[in-house]
Amino acid sequence: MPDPCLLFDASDPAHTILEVNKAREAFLHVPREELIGKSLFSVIPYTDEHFRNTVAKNLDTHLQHVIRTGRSYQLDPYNSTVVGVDGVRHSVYMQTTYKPMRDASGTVRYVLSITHDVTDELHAASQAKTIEGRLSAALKIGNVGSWVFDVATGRIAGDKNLLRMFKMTKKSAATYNLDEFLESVHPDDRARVTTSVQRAVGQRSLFEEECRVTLGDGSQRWILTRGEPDTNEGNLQFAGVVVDLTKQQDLRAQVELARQRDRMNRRAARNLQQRNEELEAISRSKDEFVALASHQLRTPATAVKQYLGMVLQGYVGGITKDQADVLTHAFDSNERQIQIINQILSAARVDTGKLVISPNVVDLRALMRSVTKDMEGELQRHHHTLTLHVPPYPVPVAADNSYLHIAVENILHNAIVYTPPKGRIMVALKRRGQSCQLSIMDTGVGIKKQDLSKLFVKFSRIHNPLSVEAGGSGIGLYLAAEIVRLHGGTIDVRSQIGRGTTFAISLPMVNDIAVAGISGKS
Amino acid sequence: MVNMSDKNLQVLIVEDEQLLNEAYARVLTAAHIALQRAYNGKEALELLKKHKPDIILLDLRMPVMDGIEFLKKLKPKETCPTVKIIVFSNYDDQREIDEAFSLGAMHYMLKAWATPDELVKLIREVDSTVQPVG
Repeated sequence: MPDPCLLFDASDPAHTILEVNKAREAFLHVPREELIGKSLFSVIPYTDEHFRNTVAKNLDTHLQHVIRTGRSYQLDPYNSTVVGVDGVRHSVYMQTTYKPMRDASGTVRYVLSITHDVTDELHAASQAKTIEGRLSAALKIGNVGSWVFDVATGRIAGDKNLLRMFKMTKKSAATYNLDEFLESVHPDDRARVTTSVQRAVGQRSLFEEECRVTLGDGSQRWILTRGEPDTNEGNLQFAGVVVDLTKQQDLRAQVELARQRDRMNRRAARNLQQRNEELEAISRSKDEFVALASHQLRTPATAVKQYLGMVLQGYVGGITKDQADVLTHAFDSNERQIQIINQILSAARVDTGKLVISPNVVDLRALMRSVTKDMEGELQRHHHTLTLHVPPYPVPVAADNSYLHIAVENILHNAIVYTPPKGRIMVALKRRGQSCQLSIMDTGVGIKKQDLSKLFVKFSRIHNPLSVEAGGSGIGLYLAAEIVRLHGGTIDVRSQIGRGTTFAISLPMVNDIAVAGISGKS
Repeated sequence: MVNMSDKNLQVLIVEDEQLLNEAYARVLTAAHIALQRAYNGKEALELLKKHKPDIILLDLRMPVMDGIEFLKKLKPKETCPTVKIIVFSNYDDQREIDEAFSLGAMHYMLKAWATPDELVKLIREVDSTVQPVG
């Protein structure tokens, strides 16, 4: 369908309509006959006040201008209603152009009014505008700027986002070029970016780089820029975008920092573990050394024991009483040495975890009788009296007889040597509910309060009036405590200086039926 | 001194320490116990080819051939079930002792434990026990 047209007289101020085409008839819903001879202003929507005040404002003046200058004049698109072939009224957008028509002399005689339906056009334009708006918003929100780089001139033209991102003024943007951009790139990244640009230009290939740039105000940003080659009228250009990654980079840096911390922690943990293993190895080799040295010491001590024993026990002829006395001192001293070696070995076994107790049900009364009997000689030498109180019923404990024997013996030995001659030692065994308590009380020199904590520490020795005379390895009580601990028991100490000390061993008991069974067999 | 004459009892001492070997020999001789002396397992095996004692006093840690190796070679349960073996050591290593027992040893003694009298007493006691068969 042709555009609706209408021809009117230019010279006539009323602009009398001279001719109307069919399309125009349809558009105005008025038959041709009724239009011709009428004034233009009476038939077009000019009668509509809104139309007159907006789109057709000063239409008369504009038309005069068309007639005078011979230049066309176009109205802005306006809304109108048309009735389609289906008889339905449609809302449409129209745009009217007034074209001057000249006669042979060049004078404008008539004006042709051509009206288009611009509905689709407007729609498309509006859509385009929306898309553009959205794109712009997206670019802005995403901190994305766009640029065009002209290879021949080196010029980089950026959009508003790019200008904002790079803190550029319109003036500085007008001359912005590749050299300026590369200048702003961080020195560490510059060579890489430069090479990348050169390669992209040389190969007309995609360009993509991530780098740090320093802006005019001295601040630094992380950017990702990406462009594609595009030939515009034989001129090589790159069109691309630039994204501000600073925030992401900050996050990445934080993640990297966290990772580094993690790595450091792991390394520290590894070092610590290694150090621990080294220390354990040192400790192990120390314990092994102690064990080996002790074994080595046992052999000569054993030889001394055999040879002195041969003399004392009459294997090589008789000796005088004085000789026997002297040799007995030597023999006893050697015995003490063997005992210390044994204790060091036991302690080394505790330390290396090799001391394993093999518990059986033991009546602690029997064990106590055995220990006190073994100590008779030592008690006599110190002129002590020992009393042993045991209950009239069994005190069954799960114990390794030989080790528990050593533990009690060590505590009793301490009581003996740290009590001045003619002292009293009282050993009492009591049942207390599910456990039993063995107390060893002496009338000795006592232990200072500040020394109590040192008591069970390996190789620690306490100074008191009898410590030099008593000798000792500093192992006895340590070993006793370890043995008691391995039996699931505890040791408590109470002491008064000059009055005496009480060691109380507490051990869990097992039920009587078990001990009855065991004692029945033995 | 445990002074009891027992001409029939024969002991093989296997001990690498010269001083201890000497000491045990003196003690046993004084107690009228017949003896042979070896300084390692290999020497002991040689002696055993000619003569079987009643008791072997066997040290465990020795150069050339140690006590465990000796027992493995000798296989006392098969070759000489009537010979009683006392192992003695200053390394009271339970695993070593267990192994010696599984290989046919009958008794264990910590060297540093015994005085001469106790050693003689132990030998006589072991001699008087009946070796379990099998």
